[in-house]
Amino acid sequence: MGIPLHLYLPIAGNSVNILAILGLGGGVGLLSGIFGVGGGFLMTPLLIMMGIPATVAAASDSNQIVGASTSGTLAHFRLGNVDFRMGMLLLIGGVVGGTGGVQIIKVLRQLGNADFLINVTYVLMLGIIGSYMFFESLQSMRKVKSSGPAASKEKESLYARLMQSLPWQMEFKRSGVRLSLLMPLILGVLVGILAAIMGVGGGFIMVPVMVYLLRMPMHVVVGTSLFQILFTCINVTIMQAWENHTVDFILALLLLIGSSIGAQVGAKVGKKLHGDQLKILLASLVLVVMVKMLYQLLARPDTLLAYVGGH
Amino acid sequence: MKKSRLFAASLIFLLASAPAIAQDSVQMTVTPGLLHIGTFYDGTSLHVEGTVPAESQVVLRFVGASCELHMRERGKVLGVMWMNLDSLIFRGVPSVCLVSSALAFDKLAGSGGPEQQEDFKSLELSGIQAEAQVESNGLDRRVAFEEFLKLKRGEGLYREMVGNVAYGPASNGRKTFEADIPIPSRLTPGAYQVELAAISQGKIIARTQQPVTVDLVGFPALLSRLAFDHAALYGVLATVIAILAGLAIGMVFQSKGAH
Repeated sequence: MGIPLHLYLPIAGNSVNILAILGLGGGVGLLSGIFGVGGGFLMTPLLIMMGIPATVAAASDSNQIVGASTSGTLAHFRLGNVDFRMGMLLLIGGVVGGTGGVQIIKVLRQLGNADFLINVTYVLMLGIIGSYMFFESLQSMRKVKSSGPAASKEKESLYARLMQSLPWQMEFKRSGVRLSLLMPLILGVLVGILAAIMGVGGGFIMVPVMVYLLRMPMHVVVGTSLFQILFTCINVTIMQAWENHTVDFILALLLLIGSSIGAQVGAKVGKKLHGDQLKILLASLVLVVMVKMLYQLLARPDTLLAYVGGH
Repeated sequence: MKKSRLFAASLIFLLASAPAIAQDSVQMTVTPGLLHIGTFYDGTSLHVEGTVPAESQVVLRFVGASCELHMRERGKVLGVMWMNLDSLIFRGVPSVCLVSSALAFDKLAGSGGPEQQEDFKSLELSGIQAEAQVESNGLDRRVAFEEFLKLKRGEGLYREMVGNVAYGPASNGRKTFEADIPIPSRLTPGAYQVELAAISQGKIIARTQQPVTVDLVGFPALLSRLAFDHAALYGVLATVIAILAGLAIGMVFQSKGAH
């Protein structure tokens, strides 16, 4: 008798190939560990392609991100890459923003065509963030090659002066920055609103915000982002299980075995890469997802029907 | 007067007893009658066998309970982008419909007239449309149903299989048949039916059906009960186990790194 390769998922109402799910989890976990993004924007569509209902795919993915980000946060904590103070402030802002975002999306749905706004926001955010990160990292890598580190401090920007003028300045030792506690709180609220509207954890928006607006070093950004994602996904998992019965724990467990291992390997790979290399790789990934989404918006779908609750 | 009364009574008796005669002329056994979905369930097959009139062809249907499906129509916004637009509802559609026959439907038609062919064509997947109700604000009812069939076929829940019904030799005006119906892995617990229709000259001459129950057993049953009956506890447990698993894997990597 051979080893069974399939498992039946009672909540998804389908059976899956164990190795395929482990491999999918491992691949996305690797990216999560390297870049500090939850990977929901990659994992959920891939699960749907494997026959998992969209609502179950999204909720179970949140459940597995809890495990993967625990493992990733632990790995980054050991490497000294988690700024707990910054993470907590971003988290508080994120929860407030997320709650507001849910109300905004309710109003938009009543007005009609909310899906249109969500999709366009998605493509625009991914396009802007991906392009900016890509070209900025490219420029930065060229600068390092041509003139060394001295050229980087050319001008004190208006933004930097504004940051310094804000009240309640505090030291974030792990990140090596000093700024007002209002900054992470306000940015957390903004990312929370966007994440709620777009229905994602917000990792891929939060990472560029930490890098460019909070001026945190890339390695600390990754660990801190995972720490924040952990709490966001705990909340989503419990709420989805309670309200919608859409968390398939067996699916989540398989994914997280793969993704936790992937996240550990990712954290080690990320440590070997230069900050600009990390940024340019993440930018490429974000741009690929943007192109895929744009294609889905422009190309005629296979069927003119979609289940309610699908993406 | 007496004669006409006798004729009318005989006619009523014949009409009333016709379905019973039709049902008796076909026999069917379905095994197993109870399908268990356990931890390693990955689809299965139902074995169907029986006897039918020698001149007839068999059409078998594995049909799920009639359900109501809420969907969104996909259309173009600003003439460029495809989006989910109006809601539409399908009522009276089976959750699963797997049709099996020895020959393709166009070859089953024989020399039957248009009315008779309408009759047996109701067994095809496209025949579901007659029973179904489509509530749509935008999309044409016919187009909506075609798209619905396309979606269900893509999921493997609606399927027409040709050639999986085999016949034995005919004797005394009857012949045996047997078929294996592949049941998809994407199956939910509930009550299903295997329906048999015997067709001759494009007309359904006899029908019968047998129930098949699909049940969750073992770990999937336990998990399903927990998820639906104790949802909050299930959510907390799923989170705690995920955290512990993440920590455990983290520890394993730490110990490996130490050596």
